[in-house]
Amino acid sequence: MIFTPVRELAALVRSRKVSPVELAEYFLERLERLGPKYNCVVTVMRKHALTQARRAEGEIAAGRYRGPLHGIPYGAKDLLATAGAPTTWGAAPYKAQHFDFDATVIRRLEEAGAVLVAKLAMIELAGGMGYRQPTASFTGPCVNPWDANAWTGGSSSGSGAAVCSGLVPFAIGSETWGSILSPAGYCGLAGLRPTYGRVSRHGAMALCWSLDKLGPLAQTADDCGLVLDAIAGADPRDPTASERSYRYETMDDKRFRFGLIPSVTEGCEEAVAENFTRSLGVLKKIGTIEEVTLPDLPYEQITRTILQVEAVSAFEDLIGSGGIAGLTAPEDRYTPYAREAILAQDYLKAVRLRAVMAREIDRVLRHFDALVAPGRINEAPVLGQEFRSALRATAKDVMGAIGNGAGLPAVCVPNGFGVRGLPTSVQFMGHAWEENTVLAAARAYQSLTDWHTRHPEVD
Amino acid sequence: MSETPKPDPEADALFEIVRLRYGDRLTTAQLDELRKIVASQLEAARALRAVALTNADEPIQPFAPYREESPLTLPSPQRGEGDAR
Repeated sequence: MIFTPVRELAALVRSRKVSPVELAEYFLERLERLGPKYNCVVTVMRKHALTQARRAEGEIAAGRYRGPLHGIPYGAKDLLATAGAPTTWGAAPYKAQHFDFDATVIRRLEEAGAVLVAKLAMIELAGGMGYRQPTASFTGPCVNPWDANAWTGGSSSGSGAAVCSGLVPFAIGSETWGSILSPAGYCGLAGLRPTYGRVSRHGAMALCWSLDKLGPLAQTADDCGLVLDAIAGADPRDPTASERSYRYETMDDKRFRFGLIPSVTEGCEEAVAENFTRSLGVLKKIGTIEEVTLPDLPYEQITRTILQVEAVSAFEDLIGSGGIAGLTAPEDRYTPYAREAILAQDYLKAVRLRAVMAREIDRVLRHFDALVAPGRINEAPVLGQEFRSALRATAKDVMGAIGNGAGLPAVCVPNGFGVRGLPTSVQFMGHAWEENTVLAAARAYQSLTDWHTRHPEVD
Repeated sequence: MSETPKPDPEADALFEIVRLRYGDRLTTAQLDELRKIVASQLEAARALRAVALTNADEPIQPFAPYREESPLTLPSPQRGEGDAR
């Protein structure tokens, strides 16, 4: 069952060839045995999971099949509130924190019949304090299953490691800027960043109110669509959750128009650029590729300024009280203070420019199904070393700045390996509310390649 | 030999805000680091300021008038009663 996509597991469950309790036991054993090896688990939810699995088993036996997530185990990034278990936000000051309610995403997955087996490790406060190193979590760095000396990326680090090592069939992560696409890309997984507002943020740690998104990491783009179908939708508890309805629909045999920013591989490692060029060759079989010119705007400065200010505002209590001294990464204990020197007028200029950016990118995307780009500029960073980041202006990420600043959906999938034997990736970023289109592009790409069928040796 | 940075009074003034508020919590090395970060933030701000906008260029508005009987406009209760912080 390890590395079996959700869609295939669902067929086994529905036909009663595998029972939800067997599945839960199988993945719980793996979480307990291998979770410490990859340092990716905060809480194993054994009792809770078996209760949910027995319920699912009874319902399916009685002919009440809820859909493709019924009886399927999953893990949740530990910034999602769950009654009955700690919700640590990856940060020492919150490691005993409990909520008495479930986040909307957790509740929706329960309604779909999914089985929560673990709360997964993450970078402290979702990386919003400006961390520079993989160790920035009170649980320590997550280990990449492809290479014990490599990191998984962040901040949904445990979500990446747990899916990559076959400890869960899928996981929920969050992205403010890069936190789903980074671990998905570095671990060779599919990761979907939905449109801002597609998924309710209720019960999720707030890092940046206008940038935070929740989405899945899984073995395939198709699985990401199945999960999004269960978690999307309006929520009276989150006024930013859109009333637009969503149903996952495959778009088989669609021809695509891809847009390509000519400079998009600048700053990429050589192997990343080579693999991306090869991916473009594959994409030409399913559509056209045209170069696009973006208007000259300070994309990264817009999104970075919004992120920096909203994050320190969201944590003004922790920062003002000096509580950040209890964080794990030395830089997280003091660098947030600098952001109090960002002037209100500059923040508002960034917010106004975001509207310009959103209109301009909408105009560009009108002619395309998706913009394509490398998912990450490099292979996974080495553990114990500082890494480059667009959030700190030490790396370029125009696609991430536009996608997150304008709230656009993107999916990344593996497209090869680099010189160190770690996965590289390609991303598809689309129009707002066009998750089905970017998922269809990624699925079509995966139908022509086998990178997603390669897995690390993990046992 | 490293190049001496050009004087930047605005960066110095912004750094002073940080130093006055939090200097008592910080080491000299940390203050030096914060001075560099403030300079980087200011560089980003100047890139934003360089783009001209008109009076009509407003943010994409999240604000909505609030009435208690209209639960759809309630601010999101991100934290529950069981918050143990």
